[in-house]
Parts: sequence; structure tokens; C-alpha cells
Amino acid sequence: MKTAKKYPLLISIIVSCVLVVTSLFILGFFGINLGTSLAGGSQFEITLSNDADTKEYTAKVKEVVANKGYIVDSAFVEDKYKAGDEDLEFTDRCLVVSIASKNISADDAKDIRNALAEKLEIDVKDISAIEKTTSALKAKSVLFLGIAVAIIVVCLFAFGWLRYSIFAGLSFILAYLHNIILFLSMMILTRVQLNLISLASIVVLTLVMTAVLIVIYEKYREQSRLKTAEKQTISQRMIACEKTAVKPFGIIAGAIVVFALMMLFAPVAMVRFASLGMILALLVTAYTTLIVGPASYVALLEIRNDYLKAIVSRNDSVNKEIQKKIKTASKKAEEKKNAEAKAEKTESQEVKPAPQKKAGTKKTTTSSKSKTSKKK
Amino acid sequence: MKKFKKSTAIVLSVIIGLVLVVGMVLSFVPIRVGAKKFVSFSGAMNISSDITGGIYGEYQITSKDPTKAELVQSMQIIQDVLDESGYKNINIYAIGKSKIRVEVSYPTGDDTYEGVYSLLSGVPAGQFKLTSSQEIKEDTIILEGHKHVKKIKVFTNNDTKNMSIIFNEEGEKVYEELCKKTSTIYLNLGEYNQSISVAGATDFSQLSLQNADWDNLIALEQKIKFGCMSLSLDADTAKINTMSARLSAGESSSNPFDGSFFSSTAYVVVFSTLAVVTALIMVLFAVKFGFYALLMLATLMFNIFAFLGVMCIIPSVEFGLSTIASLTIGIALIYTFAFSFASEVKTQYNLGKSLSASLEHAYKKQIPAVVSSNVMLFIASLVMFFFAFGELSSAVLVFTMCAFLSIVTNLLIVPLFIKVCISFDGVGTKLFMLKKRSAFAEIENNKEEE
Repeated sequence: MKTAKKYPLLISIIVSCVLVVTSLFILGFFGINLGTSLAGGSQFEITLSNDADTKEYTAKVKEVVANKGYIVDSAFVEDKYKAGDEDLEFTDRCLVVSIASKNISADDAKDIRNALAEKLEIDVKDISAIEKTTSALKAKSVLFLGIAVAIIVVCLFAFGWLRYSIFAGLSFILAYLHNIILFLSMMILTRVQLNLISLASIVVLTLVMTAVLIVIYEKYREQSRLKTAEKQTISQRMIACEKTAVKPFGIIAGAIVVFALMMLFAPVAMVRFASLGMILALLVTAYTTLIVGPASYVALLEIRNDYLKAIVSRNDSVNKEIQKKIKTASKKAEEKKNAEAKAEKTESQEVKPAPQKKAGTKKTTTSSKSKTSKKK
Repeated sequence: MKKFKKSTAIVLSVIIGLVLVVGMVLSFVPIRVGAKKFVSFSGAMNISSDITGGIYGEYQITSKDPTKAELVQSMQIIQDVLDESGYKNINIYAIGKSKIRVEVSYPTGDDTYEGVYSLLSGVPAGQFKLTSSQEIKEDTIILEGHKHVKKIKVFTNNDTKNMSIIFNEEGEKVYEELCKKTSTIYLNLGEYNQSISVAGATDFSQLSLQNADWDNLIALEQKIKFGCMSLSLDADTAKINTMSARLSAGESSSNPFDGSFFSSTAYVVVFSTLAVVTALIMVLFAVKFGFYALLMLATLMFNIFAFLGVMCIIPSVEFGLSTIASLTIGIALIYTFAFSFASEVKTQYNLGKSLSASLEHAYKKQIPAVVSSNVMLFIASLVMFFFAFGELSSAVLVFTMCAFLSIVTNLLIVPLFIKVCISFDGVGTKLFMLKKRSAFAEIENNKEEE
């Protein structure tokens, strides 16, 4: 039976912990690969002649920079005018090249400029010095983002608690934080550049994840009210609900995959990095949504049930009540059994003797019934 | 789900059709009435300078050996002032320790290039100082913007337009000294100078200024804010001009009169992906549910109209790569619930229920899921919007809008459209590609309906 499957919670906890710890080690040694939009990079300008083919120039620049082991993040054209006077004075037309690295050594910078001058057949003077760029992103902005995450986590917990149970609230917190931390860990491990686009993807996808979890828990709540729910364990019920609830969300996953794949064809490195970041965000979110979120809810509910059972078995007054209930139940079962036996006897006397097989099966069923009632 | 009367259904479908047509026209067609020209909603959309051409300002730093803290403080002030002027997603960074560069999107709608130009040329305003004498001597007391000003605010009070320059603790002491020394102090801001009478001043925590013209007051406020930067920027060497899309590979032009200025490969890729994803979702609906796809197309038209209309009201949203990625996910979210609803209708119908009972059941079943998940998404993304920075805030705001549209679409628009459709004979089963059932099921059905 498929629904008999259980969530691999323990395995997922181990996997997540291993990934996070490994990424922390890598973070300590190599740091995180941040894009120019978050951490700045390097930039230089090439003065162009009026008839220069900017597309061809960009391709050559990319080649030269890549030979030195660096990646061109973006390259754009701009006109330089002198402002402040009434008539603007045109000075230069430039190709501005942005490199996703802050640590370009002086020797590398010199080599790049010389190689570029040779390749583009221009004077080295037309290539500006390679300068570091500093992003305006401040610790305050990151702190504000952290505050937003904290507020959302509190809102989710309150919502989960009020609507479902405190355990749902806890599972929301766990899933939300897990998704963000694991995504950052994966970005560190894979060395994919973290830029504003991939950051936006994980923020939005984590929100989508909460929506999917809400739909699953809503279904679970609805199913738990049905009589058939008593026959299933919590885990089985949750897996069944997850299967039906998650299916339509395949549309969102499909949309992201199409978006990311199309972006891979863009000729700009930053866009391609963003596309990889999106795919990673999708994978992490799928893992959290399908396993970590519901599994943590199930685990918490099971722990609660076990705890209640333990309390019941330890508490004498409760035990006495239960024993009383068992006694009355077994009495009732015995009476029922007797009545059934009597009815069977009268039936066999009045009509005709039943065939051996049927009688046998009847006996077994009655005995199993009495067994279950005793158990109760 | 009760049907409408046929006549009501006809009237409603005409109204819906008209609203959708007018919505599409307003969204995509610029209209000229006499001398006035109304830009379409899509035309007024702000496109980020990442994917189309933009305007940049490059300023030479004249301060000697600036620290990182000074650079960040100055960039933050520029960002805040441009933010308040409606340019949310500006790209601002320092080049080495010699230049600060600001990049904004090319203006659309009512904004003009001249407006952006004058705003950017105001950045190197000169340092803001309040002095006790017009010429700075040895004994001149100086209150400096970057050291002593805490906050600047403008407000109207009984038809007077006011500006308050609020000082920090140290600033209060300096201002008190200034007021005690002289009854006239001097406001210095680069080339701009003004004498201010402070005779009889008792409140040393702030300096209040008044101006009859609101625009002049705002301009002065901007200048003073720029003047509070730790770094001084050279106005004479400032370069302000157009640039090609940042995420281009040299294929875009920096000339706004050239077609490739408003485009780039990233722009084409992103917008065509949005179109492809939307088309694929509609194809999925057509394959799975037949005519329901047409209904979804109508809701899509409504969503486009509503979305673009709201985006025009919120001018700070810029469509960059991350905003469009979040819009794609948002559209998929809206139609995920619509898909789930149609699947539930099919399941209920196959269980032997009548069409109206199936619709009613599916609708009731989906209300809690749609409301709780979308309301939570709406709240969470709104929180994120208030705290996020730059492009991220635009992306989250777009997603907030999608969560809201998801509630409206799935709880109001889709049921309304379905009710109109099933009011016409024989449309109901075709709408969801429902197969004919056995005679027994039909009898049960009739009984149920009776």
C-alpha cells in the first residue's frame, strides 16, 4: 500500500544538518559568492570610437577577462556629457564593463588592460583603470530583511496555532527558516552567485511554500473530521492529503522551470547566475514543502499522542476509569455474544443446518469481534 | 451554484465583454482626446534600467581619502531622497573612492527626462552649514549638516508650508550657541545662501523655515538633505546622461532615439518568458478542461487590466528581472487555485453529482484553502515589502498584488463567469469537458435535483 509510507524525517534532518554544517565550513574558508548588486565588484570603461561595434567589443572583452579567470557581469554603453553648462558638451562614448569580483590584483588588472588593448586594437589609455565598486547595501538593510522574516515567522506561527494547532504553527516556523537557511547553504556549497534576483526568488518561493503548506494542512483538517480518518495513522493521512493538495502547484513549479531555462539563454552572466539560483531555490522549496514541513507536523502530532498515552498509563484515577469502561465494554460484548449464539441456535433449529464452511467463518468473525471488544 | 435567468445571463455577458474590451484598450492603447494624450497602463509602466536604457549620474568626490562609512552614508542619503521622489529601484554604487554613480530608469508616463535630469543635477548641492557670520572667520560658529542634523521634515500647518530641520544632541548645543551669539544666522549650501533671523528663539532642538510655494520648499528640502552628505561632490564635473540597459551584452544603444535603447536581450527573454508561461498555462487548461480555458482567458484579461491599473497608481514599482520573475510565479499562483477548482468539479461530477451540485461542492471546498493561503501570502508579502530594499521590494509588492488578485479571481470572478456560462443550455458540461455518465447515474442525478 502506498499510503503506508512514512516521512523520512530523520534522514531529512541529517541531510539538512550536513548541508548546513558543510556550507558553514566553506563559508569560513571561501565566503559566499555575492553578486555586484549585493556586494559590489569591479568596473572599468573603454572609450569607443564612433563606428565601434559594441556587440563585437563586448564579446572580445568577455573572452579576455575570462582568460584571466574572471567573469564579466554585464557590459553596457553610455555617452559622456559634461553637465552643469547650458549647452551640454559631448566628451566620450564608452563601454562600461562590470566584473563580479572585488579582488582583482594589480598585476591581473594590468594584464587585462594590455590584453584588451591588443585584442581591440586600441591604445591602453582608452581603457580606464579597473576600480572597485562599493554597493550601497548596508547592514541596516540586511537587518531590516531579518526583522521582516521574524515578523512573518510570528504571523505564521499565530495563524497555524489559531487555525490548526500549535504544532502546525511550529512546523510553519521550522519550514520557513529551514527553506531560507538551506537555500543560502546551497548557494555557498554550489558557489552560484547570490544576487538580488535569486534573493527575490527565494523570498517569493518561501511565501509560496507557506501557501502550499496551508493548503495541505487545510486538507488534513478536513480529512481528520471524516470517520474514515480513524482507520489511518497521522502519517498516512498527511501523505494522502499532500498527494492531492500538491498536484495543482505543479503549475508554479513548471512556470519557474520554464522561466529559469529561458533565462539560461540570456547572454549576460548575471542573468544566467540568477537562473541557476532560481532552480536551486525551487529544489530547496520543493524539498521543504514535500518533506520537512508536513513531516515535522506529523512528528509533533505523534509525539503529542505518545505523550498523552504515557500520561494515561501513569495516572491511576484515569486507569481506574478506563478499567471500568473496559469491564462494561466486555460485559456488553459477552451479552452480545450470548445473544448471537442464541439467535444462531434458534436459526439452525428452525430452518436448516448451515454448511460447515459458513458456520466456521461466522464463528471466527464473532470470535474476532469479541477479541476486538476485549481489546477496546 | 444557482443559474442566472437566461436574460440576466445575456445582460451580464454583454457587460463583462464590454468591461474586458475597455480594460484591454486602456491597458495597451494610448488615447488622444483633443490636445490631451493619455498613456496606456502598460505604457506608463516603469521598466528598470537593468533591462532597458536608463539615465545615470556620475559624481566626482572632492573630499580627501573618504572612509567606507562616509561613502555609505552619502549613498544612503542620495537613495533616500530619490526614493522619496518616486525612484525606488535606483542602482547606486561607489567607483573606487573617487566617484559615486547613480542609475535610474528612463522616465515614462508624465515624468520627463528634464525632471530626472534636474533631480540628478541637484545631488552635488554643496555642504549644508548654518554659520554665525556670512564669511567664515576664526570665531565663526558652524553647524554642519552631516554632523549635527538628525532629520528634516516638511509639513503644512494652517495653510503655511513649513520645514523643520531637527538637530541631534550635539547639534542642539551648537544651535543654542549660534542663537546666543547672533540674531541672524546664515544658511550656506554651495552657491545658495540665505540669512535667517533667530531673534528670540527658545526651542534649540530645531530650526523652522517657511515658504509660500510648496515646490520651492520641497526643492530646498532636497538640497539640504543632499547637503547633509559627509562627502562633497563636484557639481562642475558631474556627468548626467543616458545609458544602455545594464544587463545587455553591448547590443543595446545609449541613444533614446534608437529603437534598441528600450530593449535588450534580457528584456526580450524576460517578457517573452512571461508570455510563454501564461500561454502554457492556458494550453494546460484547454487540454484538461476544454472551454474552461476560454473562461480563464477572460479572467486573465481582467487580471491584466486590474494589475496594470494598480501598478499605474503605485509609480514606485519598476519592472526588472526579479519583478517579472515574481509576476510569473504570481500568475501561476492565481491559476493553480483555478486549476484545483476545475479538477474538484470533475471529481465530484464523476462521483455522480449533478453539475450544479459539483460546482457548489467544489466552490465550498476551495473557499478555506483559497482564503487562508492567499490572505497569509498577502500579509506576509506586505510585511516583506515594508522592510525590503530596492528591487526586492518591487518584486514582493508585485507578488502581494498577485495574492490579492488570486482571492478576487478565485472567489468572485471565476464563479461569476461560470454562473453566467452555465445559465446557457448545454454549456455547463462542455465547459469542464465532462463526459456523459451512465443512465443509472443520470437517474440518481435527477432524483437529487428533484
